Amino acid sequence: MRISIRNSLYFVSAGTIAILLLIYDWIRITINLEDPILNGLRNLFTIVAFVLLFVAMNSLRSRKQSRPLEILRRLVAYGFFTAAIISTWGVLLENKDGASGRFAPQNVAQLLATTGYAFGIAALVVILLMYTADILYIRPEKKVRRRFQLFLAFALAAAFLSIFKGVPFISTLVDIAFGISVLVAVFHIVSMNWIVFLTRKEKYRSLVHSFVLMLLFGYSYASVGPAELAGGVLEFYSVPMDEFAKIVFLFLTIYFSLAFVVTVFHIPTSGVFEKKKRELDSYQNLSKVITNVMDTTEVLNNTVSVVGTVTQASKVWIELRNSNSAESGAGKFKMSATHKTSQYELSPFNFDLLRDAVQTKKSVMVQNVEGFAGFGLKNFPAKSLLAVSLTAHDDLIGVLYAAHDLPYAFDEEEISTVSAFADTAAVAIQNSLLFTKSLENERLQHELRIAHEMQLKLLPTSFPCTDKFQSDFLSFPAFEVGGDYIDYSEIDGDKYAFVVGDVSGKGTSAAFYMAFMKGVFQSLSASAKSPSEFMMAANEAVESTLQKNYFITMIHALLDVRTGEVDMVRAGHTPGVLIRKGGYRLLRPAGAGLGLEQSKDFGRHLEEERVVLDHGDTLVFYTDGVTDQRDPGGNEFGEERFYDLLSELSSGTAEEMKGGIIRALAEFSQGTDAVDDTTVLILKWR
Amino acid sequence: MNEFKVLTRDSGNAVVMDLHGFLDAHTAPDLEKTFAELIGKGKFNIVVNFDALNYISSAGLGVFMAYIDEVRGNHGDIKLANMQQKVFNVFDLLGFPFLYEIYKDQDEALKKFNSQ
Repeated sequence: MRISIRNSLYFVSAGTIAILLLIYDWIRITINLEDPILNGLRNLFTIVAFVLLFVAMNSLRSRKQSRPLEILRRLVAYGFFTAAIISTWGVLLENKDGASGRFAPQNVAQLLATTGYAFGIAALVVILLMYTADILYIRPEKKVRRRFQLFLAFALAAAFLSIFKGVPFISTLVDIAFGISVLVAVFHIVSMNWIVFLTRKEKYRSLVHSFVLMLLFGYSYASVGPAELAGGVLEFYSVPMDEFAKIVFLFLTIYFSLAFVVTVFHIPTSGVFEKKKRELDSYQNLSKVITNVMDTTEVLNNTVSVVGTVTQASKVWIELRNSNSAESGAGKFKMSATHKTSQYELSPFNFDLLRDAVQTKKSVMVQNVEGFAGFGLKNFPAKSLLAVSLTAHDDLIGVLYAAHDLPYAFDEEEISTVSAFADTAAVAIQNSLLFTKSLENERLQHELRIAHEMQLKLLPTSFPCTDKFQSDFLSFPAFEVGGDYIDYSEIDGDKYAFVVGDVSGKGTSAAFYMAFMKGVFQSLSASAKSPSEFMMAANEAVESTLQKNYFITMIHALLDVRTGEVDMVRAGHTPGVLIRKGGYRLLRPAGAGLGLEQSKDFGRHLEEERVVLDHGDTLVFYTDGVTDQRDPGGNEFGEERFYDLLSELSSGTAEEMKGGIIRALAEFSQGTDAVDDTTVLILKWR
Repeated sequence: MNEFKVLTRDSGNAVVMDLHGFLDAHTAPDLEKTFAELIGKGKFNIVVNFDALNYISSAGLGVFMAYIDEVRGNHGDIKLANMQQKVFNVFDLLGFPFLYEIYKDQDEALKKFNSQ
């Protein structure tokens, strides 16, 4: 409550007028003054005082009530209070003048009580009007507000005109204004839509309240009038106030009589209405929950439980399409959330028929499940079954099922409700799945980064350089991890074993075999007496490990540092390149890829080739990622270009050659992604 | 961009498999499927006609490895024919000539089956 200066001014003015009127009344009864003009002025002042009171009280109320039953309760309380005051105070004051049969106070005390009574009733009328306005404005339409203002205007007009009630013509006008305001009151029946939104229980309470209010205001209306029960007191004090109060009481009597009738008519429909409202509330709730929740399980559980409560289905469940598996049929769908049922309970039944049907239709209804016993629904623990597709971006992501204990339980209404839920839920489910997927992707990327780091550790950090030879290498996987393998090992101080390998395929599977090859090389190279012995042992190791459609190509070379002799074997690998005096020769001894042949055949086909390195000779081993590199136009780097490049670069050191190769590949590809892992080993005899 | 197509036709007691286009990791499953179908039908005498195959990657080579044991186990064979030089080089490098009969012409391969 806030009392502003203006408000207090209104109250003080109203109070001052009341006191002045009291003094005038005292003079009036003392000297028996009955001047019609003065009396008319006095009545006018009572209107002014009343209006001031009305305005001040109205602006004092800051908080409006919006719950109809709360307003009704207060109206009943104030109605009782009003009726009590009218019937007690008014009766107590009653002191009829023998001659006129009208109320006439005899002394100051009676005058004071009369004034108090009049303003008390006036204040109560204001309060009642305010609460009535609250109830009218619960779901306001513009015309409701206008109509109520119209009512007040006519009531006020009637009150004003009643000052001149003695004049016959004006008396008619008063009656007309009175009649119009009552008529307006009747039209208020259309602003009773607050009744519609009450629950059934609230409607019963509203019924009782309206009935009580009708009686209270009817009584009040009958009592304030002249010559009635407690009549005359208010009229004596102020004819306009009396008129106004009568109109208000009549208005309230009519309004609540109508409210009573309207409520009675609305009780039968309240069940339907409550259901709709509940659906709407749950729908809103669900939308709110599922648009904020990124956890798929939570979204699914929310959906089934909401559908379960709103439709009163006895069982609700959702199955989602398994996006990872390419297989079709029942295995493709997975029970993902259940309400009042369980995966265990549902597992014996076959929903293929429904599942197939919702692919083409939004929803499918089985009105009597018993008729579908032959389709995998024998002894299904419900009679009606509804299946609705969960579709997001034109993709069927799952199916929502609702079952009911009674046959023919789902009507059109219910189906469309479930469908609406399904649509909202589908989008949310899709979102949460995508979110989960992106999380998963992030995790996998992280794993791949780790794998990349790990694989780098499997490659040597540098290659040996002695006073006799230099060696260097480059190796880039096409993806995070690759299937190329390059390594060396020093044997007995004067021999070096070099190996370059390529596992067929790329990526993770190839990377595992690459790691496997590292183990094979490290364990066999020291004990193998010759490159062919190593390669045969390697083939044997690979044979039992590799999948049938995988193979590994490999070059193994053994360098004798003392003589410059290189013995090499080639297991299906790209040839070695010997660059001598600006020209090149390919080293291509026979040999099948590892894992292609049984050991016996493999050994039989394997040839060993020996080259003796001369001063300035360079030996290069590589994987086909080099020659398969493409430019933006789709042309291959190719063997010729690579061999010519090597011849060109051969005057430089091993390190310079490596730099030259990297540059040439970068220039050629112009940013085109490598299609395969790229590895080069450069061995230069000083 | 680089399409791959495989067609099969009967010829005497053998089946000729005509490969077209570009055989790599993406298209290899198509070829695998065709092999699996033929084997499923009990056809083990297979001649692969490479005439219209322009490219083969290591994943493509793997497909032939995957089925050779089963085919030979059923007294059949996979014979390769009509390879373009570039494609043959890839097979040759890997040592496939040790494992497979590779013919210049598919009729030679078919004759071999028919003479059995």
